[in-house]
Amino acid sequence: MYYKNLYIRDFGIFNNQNLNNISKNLVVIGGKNRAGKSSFLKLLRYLPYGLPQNDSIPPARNQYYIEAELEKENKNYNLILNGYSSPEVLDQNQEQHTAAQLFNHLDQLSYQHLFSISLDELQHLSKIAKGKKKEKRLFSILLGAGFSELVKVPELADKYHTNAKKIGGILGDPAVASFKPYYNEIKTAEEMRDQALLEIKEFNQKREELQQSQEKLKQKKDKIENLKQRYFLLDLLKNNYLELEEIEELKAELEKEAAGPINFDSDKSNQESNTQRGLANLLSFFKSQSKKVKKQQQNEEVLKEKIKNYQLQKVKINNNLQVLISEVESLNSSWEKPLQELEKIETDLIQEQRLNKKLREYKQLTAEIEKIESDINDLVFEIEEKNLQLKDIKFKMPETILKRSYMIIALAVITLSTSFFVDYSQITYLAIIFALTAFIYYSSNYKSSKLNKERTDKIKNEIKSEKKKRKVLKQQLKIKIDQLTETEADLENYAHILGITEADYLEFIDSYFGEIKEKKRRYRELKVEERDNKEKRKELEENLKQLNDLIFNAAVYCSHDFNTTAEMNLINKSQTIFKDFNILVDIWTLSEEYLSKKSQLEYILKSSDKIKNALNEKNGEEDYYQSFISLYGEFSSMTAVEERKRELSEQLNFFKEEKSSLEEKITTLKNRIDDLSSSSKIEKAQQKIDQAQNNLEKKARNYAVNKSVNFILKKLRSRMIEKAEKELLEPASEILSRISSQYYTDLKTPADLDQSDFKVITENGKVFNSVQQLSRGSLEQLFLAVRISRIREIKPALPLVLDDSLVNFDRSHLYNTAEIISNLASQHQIFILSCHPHLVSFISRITDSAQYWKLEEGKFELSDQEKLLDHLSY
Amino acid sequence: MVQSIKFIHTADIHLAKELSSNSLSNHKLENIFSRAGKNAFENLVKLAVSEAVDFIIIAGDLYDREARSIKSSRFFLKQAQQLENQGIEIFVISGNHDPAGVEKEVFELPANVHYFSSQEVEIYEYHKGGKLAARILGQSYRQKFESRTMYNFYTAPDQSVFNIALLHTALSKDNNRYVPVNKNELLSKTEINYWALGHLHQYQRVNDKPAVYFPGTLQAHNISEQGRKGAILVEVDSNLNTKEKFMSLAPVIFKEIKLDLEAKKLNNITELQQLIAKKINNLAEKIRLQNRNQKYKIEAVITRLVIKGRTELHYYIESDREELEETLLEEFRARQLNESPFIWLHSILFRTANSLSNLDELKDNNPLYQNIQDLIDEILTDEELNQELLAEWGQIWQGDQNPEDRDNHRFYADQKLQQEILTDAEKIIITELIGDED
Repeated sequence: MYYKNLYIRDFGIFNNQNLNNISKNLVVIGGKNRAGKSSFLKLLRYLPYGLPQNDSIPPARNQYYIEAELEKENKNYNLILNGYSSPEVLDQNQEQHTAAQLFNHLDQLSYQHLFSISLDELQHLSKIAKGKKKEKRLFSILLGAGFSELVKVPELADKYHTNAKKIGGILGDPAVASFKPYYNEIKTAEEMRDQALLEIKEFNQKREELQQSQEKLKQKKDKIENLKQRYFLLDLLKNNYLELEEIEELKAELEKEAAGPINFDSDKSNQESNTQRGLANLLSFFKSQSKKVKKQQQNEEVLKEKIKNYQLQKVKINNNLQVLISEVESLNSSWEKPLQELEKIETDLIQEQRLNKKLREYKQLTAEIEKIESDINDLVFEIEEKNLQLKDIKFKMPETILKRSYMIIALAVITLSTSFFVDYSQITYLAIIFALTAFIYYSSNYKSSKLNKERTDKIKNEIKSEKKKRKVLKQQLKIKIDQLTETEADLENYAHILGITEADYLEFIDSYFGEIKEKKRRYRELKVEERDNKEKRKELEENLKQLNDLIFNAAVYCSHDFNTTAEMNLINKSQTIFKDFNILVDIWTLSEEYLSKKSQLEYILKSSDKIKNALNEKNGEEDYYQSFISLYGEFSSMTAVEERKRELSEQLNFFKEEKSSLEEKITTLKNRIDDLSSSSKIEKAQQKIDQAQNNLEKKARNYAVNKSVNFILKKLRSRMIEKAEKELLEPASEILSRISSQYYTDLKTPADLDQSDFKVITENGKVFNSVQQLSRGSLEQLFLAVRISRIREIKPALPLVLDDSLVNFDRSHLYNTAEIISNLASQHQIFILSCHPHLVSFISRITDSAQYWKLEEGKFELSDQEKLLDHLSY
Repeated sequence: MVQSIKFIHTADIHLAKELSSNSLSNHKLENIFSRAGKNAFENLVKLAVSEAVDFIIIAGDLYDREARSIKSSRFFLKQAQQLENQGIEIFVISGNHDPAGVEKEVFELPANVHYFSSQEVEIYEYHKGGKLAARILGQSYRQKFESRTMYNFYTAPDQSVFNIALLHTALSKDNNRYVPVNKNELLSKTEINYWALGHLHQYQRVNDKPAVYFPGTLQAHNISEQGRKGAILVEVDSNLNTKEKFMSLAPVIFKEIKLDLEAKKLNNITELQQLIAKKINNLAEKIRLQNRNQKYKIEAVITRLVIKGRTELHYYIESDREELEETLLEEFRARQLNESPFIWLHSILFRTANSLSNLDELKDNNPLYQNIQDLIDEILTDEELNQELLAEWGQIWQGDQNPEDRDNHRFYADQKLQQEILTDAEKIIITELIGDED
């Protein structure tokens, strides 16, 4: 691209200036100071981008106006710059373009620095290394495409590095800077979470602990219960101690009484001592015989009384017998053994009644016989009398009369019956008359005859009966006499039975009989009494035997020697027995007392379940009493019991305390378990972590962004520099070498990329690490070399303006430079603004193709080398 | 001909793990979010009951390593009891989050829960109507990491019934931590009809026949687990043909809403607010529509709003990012509180940059721009450079690639995130370097 024509209507010193047919190669514009070279440089500098509204450009007279005709890739463009507005670009077809398009979109700064740098500006280069922003930018521009932006890189990178550092420190350690609070939150929450995670462990532990504690509690409770029971038992023991003492004493006594060695107990499991067994047997014996003993005891007095009575009775009977004997002797002195004689008299054969009857009969019979004999005499007399009477009476027989009557009636009936066959009424009448006759006859004769007859008959009968009577009486008399004889015989017999020898026995037999009978009765009675008494004795004997048996039986179980009953009289026997019995009763009473007390105690023990449980607990035996006794046995005295009780009470209190502390622990555990099982610590921790993490993530992102910016920038820069070294500095080194006549051989960026500096090496191997170490001329050479290298790289080529930038070069270097520029001009349109004639001279020596313009007071005039040399030389 | 069966395949339940909702204050939210995992599980139980499935298989990570609580154990116990009442069996392997699970169970589990041993592969036989109907093979993790190949020993005696294999794996041969195995290796075990996998939180059909599935997590827990979550309902007919259906069960889903302000001419924050409101309403409407055909409704969506792009508002945003964020969060949270389903703004992420008027021109013409682009591409693709960048990002970004093994205070930048960050950085650089003309 190059300017073909330029029309400057209004720009600083320039007024209606035309530069036509400008060479597309080397354009040398020569002018003295204040001719307008600097203004022209500025004009070209701002033409593609528009004019800045400040005092860095010369003022317009009226309004800035510049027109330029450009050619780029064989196309023509018109560029018009009017005032401060952006330049307008039209192509041949009047189509609008932008200046940037024409100028390769090269940014303004780069264009300005690369293509239109002024001497003054170059003079500032020495300050590059001092780190001023502007210089740094220049430095980057020199390094190539985009370096104008890159110049900001170190600073920007710093900025973002600082940003990042604020966020997360240099290393992005989560525990620092703005990460820190969130990091800490996370850590705290994690701690919380880890704690909470332990909750499961704790939960299991606590559950285990709870179970153990509950078991322990149960044990404690059992223990307490046990102690309570023991305490209770001891209390019971204490309350019953005296009783027990008594019982034990009784037992001891009883044991003494009990027959030891004999063992009837078949229970082999019972391994207790013999005495015990003896006692047990004794007791069981007494138990079984208790009623008997009691009965015997109750009967003892009665029995004694009975024995006494018996004895008395016996005496009495004997006395009575003696009386009776003497009485009987007196009754019948002939009896040697009166009682035997009396016994012999079989009074049974004589019935008193009968005897009396016989006696009465005898008397009656005697009387009757007399009477009958008199009656018979009377009757003989009467019969004589009646016979006399009968002789006086005569009379017809009544039967004759009756016979005659019947005959007449029979005649009448015959007559009447004839009337049935003969029909004569008279016959009937006749019959009736006969009948009536019969009747009258009968009635007139029959009655009187009959009365007479009867009277006679009566007397006859009376005589007859009296005779009969007499006969009867005679018979009766005979019977009576027989009877009397019989009776007399009986009575005689009685007298014989009664042992009466006297003849006149009839006189006294009845009284004798009475006496005998009475004696006999008495004797009999006495015998009965005696028998009864003997019965009684038997009974007593029996009783005593029972008693004796009892004693005998008891003796087996008792240690006491009982006088086993030898044959003795009743009294002695009874006395012995009673004596023994009393001993037995004593033992029995003892046992009764023992048993009763024991059973009383047993009753007490059994009556309460509490006691039973307690005892059962203690020994696990069924026999509560034995348990209790064994408990009793554990203590020597009541005081010992009380002592133990006190101990137990202390223990109990101790265990109770332990229990309550365990219960407390269990409650705590339960609460903790409840807490744990509903704990939302983990969730809370998670939420906290989550929240902190969210915030931290934002920070981290932000950190990453900042760090990335920093990273990319640095990378970008180093890459660009690398690229610059390769693509720009290598050619630039060559150029510098040529300019400096091979003095400087190598040009490099410094090792530290962050410094905007160059490293220069001479042919002798001398190394300048900073441009500051270079002379001004060398510095300018260096930058020119870099610029040229850079310009060569930008394609398509753009017009280049050099404003006396070679002024500090010595001649040989200037010549070298001119050569290089001339070469460059084959590709680029190059404006050289100079007031130095030797530069024009060098150029003219080097090339023929340069175009020369004379500039004088803002006026351009096409010239040639000689004229221009002249103009500049003077 | 065998009995047809029906079962549910689920995994990665992480019981009692909290949802990353970024909310602490509101009770309603806490209720919804804290209960989400449980609700999802309850939905699973409801599904099992309503579908009258034979059993549920849980392919690991029933519990979360970092959220294991008594409450969660009790919750599972209750659910298991409920299933037991319905005659539904549960087969569980423990994964990297709950290794040797059964030993750590706080409570004694009902008889319908079958934990697989961590010592060796076990085979449970499932009987139906007195006949063998399926075999379930599985092995639990012994520890947090499980480098045993395991799958090798998943050998069913025959193919007479449906054989299901439970395996908790990242399904990556290189991953020595989570049972290194690849798909082809699984497929080499020809007698297995269904590989019930777990570990990856995203539903994934790895293979069709034999079926190899990841059911994904039952309830997502953070924004990296976007979209619907649930379990797989599998029906097996008498010819051992399967029909798998993904059932959405999670009551809360995560979703990132992107708002690009690049082309939008916004003059003030109010306009931004309107834009956000519109976005949120659209999302809510979409969820409402989806819920209509859904048995297990979505109650809430936890969203992260990413606002990006070059915008004129960047100036305001940049001036007090945190306060603006706070204000916007507060506003939209409050607005949504009584909506159903409600969209909960988890966070707002500003990734904006200053607008550049000559951006297009710069893109076209500035070689530096291109250089930057190239450099970023290179950073993303060149491993060495990428490592260099990540090293720059510092320790905080040195988190383990696997989220499960990552410290809470470290992060991991995947490709996407790196790109996002670099994009943001790029914008800044462009603005700073090229953008401003002075």
